[in-house]
Amino acid sequence: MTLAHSTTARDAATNAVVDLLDAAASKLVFRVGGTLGSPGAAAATLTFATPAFGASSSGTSTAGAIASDTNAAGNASSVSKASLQTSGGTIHIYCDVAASASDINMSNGLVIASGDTVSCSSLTYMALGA
Amino acid sequence: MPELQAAVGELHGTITITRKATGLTETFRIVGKVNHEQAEALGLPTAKPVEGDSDDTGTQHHGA
Repeated sequence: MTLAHSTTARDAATNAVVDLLDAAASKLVFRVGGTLGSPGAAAATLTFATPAFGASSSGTSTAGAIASDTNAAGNASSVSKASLQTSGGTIHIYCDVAASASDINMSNGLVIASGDTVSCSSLTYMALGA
Repeated sequence: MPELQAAVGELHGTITITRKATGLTETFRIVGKVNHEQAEALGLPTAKPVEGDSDDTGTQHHGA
């Protein structure tokens, strides 16, 4: 049986999560592996605007401007996770991120080197599917 | 009683990396799946992976 949610319910769920990142200087961190309870090493750390996300519409919330990491910590291993967390380091979202390529064979995946500049030009979050 | 299931959260975005070593810029489209543990911790309904399903978390496109 397929479970469906109303748009109101989807907005409520999404807003409940993104509101946890309303405080100033919440972070988007790209990481090398790890879990929510034991996060992997940070390869790049970007800073959200305040609040991080706008109000949900049609179940999806869009992040405001995100400040780049102009001197990434980097890591020899591929980035495979991302965390969305408060400035104090409390992680509210921990997710897998894909690392494949359509135009170029990225055999090493998404590798961020030390000193690279990492920018995020768009980011949306959806808590529940339709 | 059947277990109700719902889709877990998704994160979509575009990131750009300017390489310090070369000065070249690479753009990636990312798709993230929020893990079940976190969704449960937040009190959100979750969908457990279906046995045999791919664990692929999305696609990423590389551009100039």
